[in-house]
Order: sequence, then structure tokens, then C-alpha cells
Amino acid sequence: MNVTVEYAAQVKQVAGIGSESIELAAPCTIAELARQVAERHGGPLSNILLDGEGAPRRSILVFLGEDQVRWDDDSTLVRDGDTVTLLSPVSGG
Amino acid sequence: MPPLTDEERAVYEWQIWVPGFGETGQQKLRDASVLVSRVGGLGSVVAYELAAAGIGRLVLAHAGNIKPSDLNRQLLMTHAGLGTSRVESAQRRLKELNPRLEILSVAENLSEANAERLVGEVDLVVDCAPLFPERFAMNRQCIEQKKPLVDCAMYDLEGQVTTILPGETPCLACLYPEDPPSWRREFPVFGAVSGTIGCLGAMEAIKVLSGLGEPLAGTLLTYDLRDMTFRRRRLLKLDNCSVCGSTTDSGES
Repeated sequence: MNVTVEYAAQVKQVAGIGSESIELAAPCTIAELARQVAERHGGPLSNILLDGEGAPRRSILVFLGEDQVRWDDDSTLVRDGDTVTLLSPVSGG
Repeated sequence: MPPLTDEERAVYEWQIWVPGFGETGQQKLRDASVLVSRVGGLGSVVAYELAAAGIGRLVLAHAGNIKPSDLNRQLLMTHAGLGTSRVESAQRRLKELNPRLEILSVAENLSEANAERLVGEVDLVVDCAPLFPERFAMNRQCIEQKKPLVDCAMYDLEGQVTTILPGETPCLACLYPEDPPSWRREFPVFGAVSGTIGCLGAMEAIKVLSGLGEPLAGTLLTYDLRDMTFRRRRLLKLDNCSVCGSTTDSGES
């Protein structure tokens, strides 16, 4: 199955791309998807998504389609054809 | 509310024609006050649009003097004013546009020390600040004092805005339960990007204050001007949020 992962703000900057298609073996939680993305890219993208212990950072906003999903939501699964957006916090200035 | 003066009718004629706004909407704006927290790239445009729309009173909070790097986006600052006070420049430019406008200029950034007083001065707050501790202090006071908070942000060619209505919508602490470790005060942006968000934030303020249209309550508008993608994202309240105490999981108001 394939899902589209979109990157926004600083996540996009460190990913170096705006979006990509990722193949998953089976439906998974948002947190598991983030770990797969972090493993795939490593380095700065992993550091912005995950803390030192490998847990998703709570300050990164995540959307499944247009709906926000919490990192600790284990009941929502990413399925074939879904679009997930990872958005780092931004401010004014 | 006192009726509009002939001068006010003449100046605001074009927006008084807007269905659902009218003279009543204009009177509401004239009787309203807004805190613009920092008058930089975002806040300059928010303040200018609110001044143009006939808001009665603005409180402008921004520390420091004008630097060369302000001038690509901070439209209330001028080259001639380099080295002089940002809020004084902002006040002068706004009064040139609208001499009826009452302005309280505060040469400080919003902080835990002054947030209660500054938020207490106004009916609505527009967050145009770059640092999360500053924004969290603003959010806490808005929730405590039940004042609407229009939250604007940007990065690169991206922008986002949402309107926080205390007791109804998720608050800033629901979105970001902790200070984001990756955020830095200085970041890439064009003035044409901050300008778009400033206009959207000002429009949200006008809508909330006058009752016009539907504000972005519980909704985060995100956009990327690289490809002109605009999205409306539904936000979640955080269970047991330490600031707004939300206990439900539904973000839609």
C-alpha cells in the first residue's frame, strides 16, 4: 500500500522535498509512520520528528487528510491512498 | 452605540456597502480595541489594515529600534527611521492614515510580566510574535480574560492562521503543548508572505469584532505560496490542556 507524506515549514526544509509517496507493508499508526519516515531519511529529519528516545515530538502537528491527529492516537490508522502532513510549528516576526 | 459621523461615513463608505457589515459593523469596529503583539512583518500589516478599516483603538507592543533587516517586510518602518523606535514609527505611519485612531504604543515585547495588563487593555489580540514563550503568555492571558486571539505565523513562503475563541476552540497550548525545540527567532521569509498573513489576520479580527462571516474557529488555514496551495485543517482540543482545560476531543466549534 502507498501513502503520500507531505512536509511543511522546517520539516520540509530538512526533508529537502515537499512530499513523497511511501510504501507501507500494512496500515499503521501515525507514530509508526513517523518512525518509518525518520528511518528512511535519517539525520536532520529524524531529529526534528523524534526526540532523543525515538518518540515523536509533540510540537510537530500531524494531519491525516485535513484532520489533525494526535501522536498518541493508536486507534487511527494510515491506510492505502491516505495523505499525511507533518508540520513544524512556525511563528510571526 | 453613537451614530457614525459624516467623516466616518465618507471614509468607510466602500466597506459599509459590504452585505452583513453596514453601518452597524462600522460602529462596532470604531468602538473596539485590538492589541497587535509586535508590529513586524505580520503586525505592521495587521495594524495598517485595522487602522484603514476604522478600528477605534490599537495597542502596539514591540521593543527595539528599526534595523536594516526589518525593511524587507515591516511596512510601518522606513529607511529614514533606521535606529529609531519601531513603535514610534508605527504610530506615526498609522496616524498619517487614520488620525481618528487612538494608539497606545508600548516599547516592550509581550511577556509574562506585562501580558495581563496588555491583554486587559483590549477586546481582541492578534499574535504576530516570533517567540513561543511570548505567544504562550499571550494565549494564557487571552484564555483567562476570555479574549479572542487571532494567531498568525509564517515560514519561507508558507503561512498559517487560526482564530482562538476561549471556551470554544482549541488554544495555542492545545496545538503546541511544549516549546518547540527546533524554532529559531530568525527565519527565511518575504514581505509579500508576511503581508498575506497580516491581511488574513486583520480580516479575522474584523470578522470577530463585527460579527461578519465565519472566523477560522477550530480551523487552521495553511498555505504555501510556492504553488498557491491553500488548505483548511480541522484542529483538535487537547485533553486536559493545562491552559484552556479542554476535556473533549472535538476541535470543531
